[in-house]
Amino acid sequence: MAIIVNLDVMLAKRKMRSKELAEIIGITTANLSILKSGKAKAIRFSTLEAICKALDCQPADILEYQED
Amino acid sequence: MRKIHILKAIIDLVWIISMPAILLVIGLVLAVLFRDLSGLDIKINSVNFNANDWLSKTLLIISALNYLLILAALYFFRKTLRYFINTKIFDIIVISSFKKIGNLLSISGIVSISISFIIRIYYQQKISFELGLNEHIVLICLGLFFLILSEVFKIAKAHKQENDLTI
Repeated sequence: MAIIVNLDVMLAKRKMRSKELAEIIGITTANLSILKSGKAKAIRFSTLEAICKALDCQPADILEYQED
Repeated sequence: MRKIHILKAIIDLVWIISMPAILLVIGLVLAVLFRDLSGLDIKINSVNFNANDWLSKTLLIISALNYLLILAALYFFRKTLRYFINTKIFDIIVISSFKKIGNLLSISGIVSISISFIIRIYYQQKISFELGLNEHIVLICLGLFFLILSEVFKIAKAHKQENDLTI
């Protein structure tokens, strides 16, 4: 997929665990895993907003466009 | 979901009643092929079949096999209902079963309408057109409806997958 999810990188930068982030933003760890692995088809603005708030970052820090 | 159990019970009953009919149909096909049935008075849709005539034999065999197509569709419908009861609504088996049911019913409808047309021309020497719905048209429409349903379920499955993978 052309959109790359760099959530792993941001989690490492903020020294936060996936489980912790999942609890803060109110989604299951299974769903967060889908998002991290790039299997997700779409992301809600509300989820993106919650992630940005929890990690204190911009959407561009999490999502990146790469040509196939 | 109680309605689905009622439907399943009715379909199961029809299926069980139809079981001996399969043997009868196979027996009839074999009898028509290998036995002289000229003494037997075979009447289908108020048309007497002369069992010695090759066209009669062919039409009888095709009619019998056509009945098996409807039973095959019934089998796939039972299978689909089982998946519905287990709430596996968007399973790939459901989609393929709907497609098979659609194809079987459409073929069956086309075959039965062709047989009816040949019977009218050959045995009754008349061409007549009926306005409105007759059983053959209903069968073809039902078959096409199941084919459309299969497509609709395929689209719904893609939407559900997309919805499930929206975080």
